[in-house]
Order: sequence, then C-alpha cells, then structure tokens
Amino acid sequence: MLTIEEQYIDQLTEAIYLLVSGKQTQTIAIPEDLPDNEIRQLYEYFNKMIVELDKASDFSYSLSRGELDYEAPKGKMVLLQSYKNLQASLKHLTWVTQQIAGGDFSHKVDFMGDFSNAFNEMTRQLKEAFETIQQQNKKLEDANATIRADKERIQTLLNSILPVKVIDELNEHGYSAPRYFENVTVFFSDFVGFTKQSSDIDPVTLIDELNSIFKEFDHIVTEMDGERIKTIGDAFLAVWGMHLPLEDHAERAIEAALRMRQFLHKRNENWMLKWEVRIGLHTGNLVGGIVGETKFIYDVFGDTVNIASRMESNSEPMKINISDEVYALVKDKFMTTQRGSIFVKGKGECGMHFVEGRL
Amino acid sequence: MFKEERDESIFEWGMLGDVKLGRPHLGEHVPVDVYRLMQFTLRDEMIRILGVEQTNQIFFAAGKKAGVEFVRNVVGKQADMNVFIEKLQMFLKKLQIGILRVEKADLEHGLLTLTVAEDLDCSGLPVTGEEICVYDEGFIAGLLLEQTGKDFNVKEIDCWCSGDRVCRFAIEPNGIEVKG
Ligand SMILES: [Zn+2]
Repeated sequence: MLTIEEQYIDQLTEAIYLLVSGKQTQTIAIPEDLPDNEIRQLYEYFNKMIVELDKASDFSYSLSRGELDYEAPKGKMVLLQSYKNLQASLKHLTWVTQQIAGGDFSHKVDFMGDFSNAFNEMTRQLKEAFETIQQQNKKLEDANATIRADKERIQTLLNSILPVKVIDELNEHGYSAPRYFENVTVFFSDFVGFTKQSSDIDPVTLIDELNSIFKEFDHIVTEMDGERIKTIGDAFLAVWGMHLPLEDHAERAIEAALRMRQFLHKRNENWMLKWEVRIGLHTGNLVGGIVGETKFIYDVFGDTVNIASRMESNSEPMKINISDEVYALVKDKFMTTQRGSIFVKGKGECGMHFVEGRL
Repeated sequence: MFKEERDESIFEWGMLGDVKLGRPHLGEHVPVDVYRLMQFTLRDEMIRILGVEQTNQIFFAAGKKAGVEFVRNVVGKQADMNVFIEKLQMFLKKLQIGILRVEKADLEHGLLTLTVAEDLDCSGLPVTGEEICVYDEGFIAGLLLEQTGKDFNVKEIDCWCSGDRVCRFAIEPNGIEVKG
C-alpha cells in the first residue's frame, strides 16, 4: 500500500489549479528523495503534459497572431494536432488566395464547412466583377479607338483647309489672329477655256478631272514647301514664304509652276481630256487670316494677291507670267522673256516676264 | 503481357482494362479496405522476403510510374504549374484518392509543401510513429516529373501513422535533369 505525503498532493493540486485558472504553470521540481514509485511516475507524466501543453499554447498563440510560418512542434496530443491542422488549412487558404489575387479564379476551397461556401461564392463574385471590368475596359478601348480615328480624320480634314501653323494656334489659344506677312510669293493658276469645256463635259467627270489635277498640284506645293490657300472654281491659289519663312520663296514658287506645267504636258499626252493653264506670280506683302466662324476658311488679302491674279489673267496658255518684283529675285535662276507692262491701280505700270525654264 | 519477364517497364494505362464493361453489376468502385488489404498483405510478404529497404524502393518506384501515367492519362500536362496543381486537386478529389492542399509553393525554387488529407493509403491506420506513405511519395515525384521534366525529392514528413491528421510532403528538386 502506497502512502502519500500530503505535501505532494498539495503541490500537484496547486499546479493544476494554476493551469485551469489560466496562470503560468511550470513543471514541478521532483524531490530528490522521492523513491521510484507511482508518485514519481505521476510527477513525470504531469511534467511531460505541462511541456506539451506549453508547446501547444505557444503554437496556438503564434497562430492567433497570424504567424503561419511558426514551425509546428512535434507531439501527439490531439490539441497540438488540431492546431497543426488549423495551420495547414490557413496556409492552404493563403496559397489559394494568392492564386486568386493573381487572377486565377478557378481555385476552390473544399471541405471547410460554411467557410468553403462563403469563400467560393466570394471567388465567383470576384470573377464576375473582374470579367465585367474587363468587358467595360474593352468597350472603353474600342470607344477610345473610335475617338482616335475620328480625331485623325478631323485633323486630316483640317489640314486640308487650314495651314498647319494656324491649326496649332487654334489648338493652343482657341483663335488665330490675322497676320501681316512681308515678302511672300503668291501663285495663281486658272484653266484656259474652262467655262467652255465645262458645258461639254458632264459635271461628275469635270469634278473628277479638277480633283485629280489639284491633287497633284497640292502634292507639288507641299513638296516645294508652299501653302495651298484655296481653290476658287478652277483657280488655284498658293503662297510661298508665309508661315514657313523662306529666303528663296520666289524660286520655289516658280519651280512648282514649272513642275505643274510639266505634269499637265505629260497628262495631256496620255489623256483624252486636255487641260491648259495660265499661271501668274507676284511677290510682295499680304495679310493672312481666318474668315468666317462656322464655315471658316483661311484666306489672304492685299494688293499682292490682286496683282498675282492680274499676272495670271495676263498670262497665256501654258505660260508662267511673273511680275518685275519676282523677276528681280530670280533673274539669275531662270531664262525669261521680257513682255510689256500692264497698269495696276494704286501701283502704276507693272512689267511682266515669261519664265521659259531653268538657267 | 501481365506475366512476361521484363527488364524495362511495359506498363500502360490499357492494362487497367475496361472496368465499366467488365463490371456491369458491381460497378467501378471497391471499398478502401479492399485496396488496403491488397497493399498491406503485399507489403507484408515483400518485407518478409526482400526486407524493408527494398520493399520501400519498389513501392516508391511503382508510385512514381503511377504518377507519370496519371498525368499522361488523367490530369494532362499543363503550361502553368498553378493550373496543374488545381487540376490535380480536382482529380484527386473526384477519384477519392485524397484531399490535396498546398501549404507552400515556391515555384521559382521548386520548393513545395503539400498535404493530403483523408489519404487513401494511411488515414485511419493505427498510430505507430512511422511515415508509411512511400507509394504516395513516389506518386507525387512521378506527377512532378511528368509535369515539369525535373526529378524531385519527395519526403513524407507527417503521416496519420506518425500521429498527424494529414500526410504532409516536403518537396525539393534533386538537381537531376530527366530527358524525355
Ligand atoms: Zn501518410
């Protein structure tokens, strides 16, 4: 029969009391004189339990703070195993959440009770929301593309109506003030016998003809750094040295005139309908600006424009007629033939020259 | 086919036969005990004749073969590793092999920690302090080999038999490139 000293029972009772009342519990120091009997064995098992419980509570405390990487202690107590399971589940959920965050919505959580349903439902809704956003983004992108294309079309249209510098001014300030330009060369051309021809040809063909010729004229003007200002019926008006300052504005304008004439010569050789132009050029000062508010057009004004027009009307079929002012600038560059002079109101006599070709 | 001598594996999926055709009344499923009855009696006799080490080697190798074939015939190789894991999870659940979960996946370094709950081989076995799912180790190594073309070390670090509720497998690349 084993007899137990009261103090041993008290010691154990105290330790268990501390444990159940949530206080720090430590292993019990086993008295050295305690014989190797059932009491010692009870002490040893009790201490072992305290150690295991300690590990489990440290572990659970770390988990409760979200430290999922805490290394699970070894041990066979159900409590410890359950915490380990909880850790495994939390780690797995973390992984699944990362996958979903990475855009893979196909992951599901299984066998975790109500949580599985809630989580999977959340994933489903996320997926739906994500897809909706994607669809909306796609629509937005399409709309943007349409706007970009429209803008480009408008820009192209605008470019054909207004000089680039003026468009820039409009874009920047919302308006473009009229401007005075000194020393520019104005080019005028007109088709010979246009009015007579136009009554013989059907209107659609006529417009096609004008279009195809003016397209080439535009091309040549751009090539020579000039600006096409406008067409008035069958007349074509261009200026050199306005928004783009050019020292050789007169030379470039004549070069363009020569190329246009050359183009028409070639065209007439191979084309049923033959077109001839009269060309006139004058150098001087003018004012350029936008006219109109809703249907605006960029136009040029001043005597220089009028004189250029007179040069054209006093020219001859397939001839390039230039004023004294132009002649003075280019006489070293081109072969010319002196002609008579015309009277210009407000200016007086004005000499004229035909350009024959390059020197 | 089944009983011929061989130096190299001649296993192919077709050897499993057409179960639907062959078992019109009994169906495709057998209780888990029956599967375990076969595995553990086989293991018992093999250990008796070949010893533990060689038996484990054979189980591992057979599991690996199964893993490779499982990818070829069931899961399918995937371009993305995460998609592979997700599909694998789905099939293991559907075929009632176990509930696969990912605890850690460092794909850049090929480090994985997977758990299998309700494992076909060991869940519910007596706790003996051993990790016994050697066939599973091989199976996982085979799956990864076929999916990635790389050889992995797979070690079961927790098992129902060692007192855990899940089997936990630590996986790392062993640096051996496998061609094929
Ligand atoms: Zn196991």
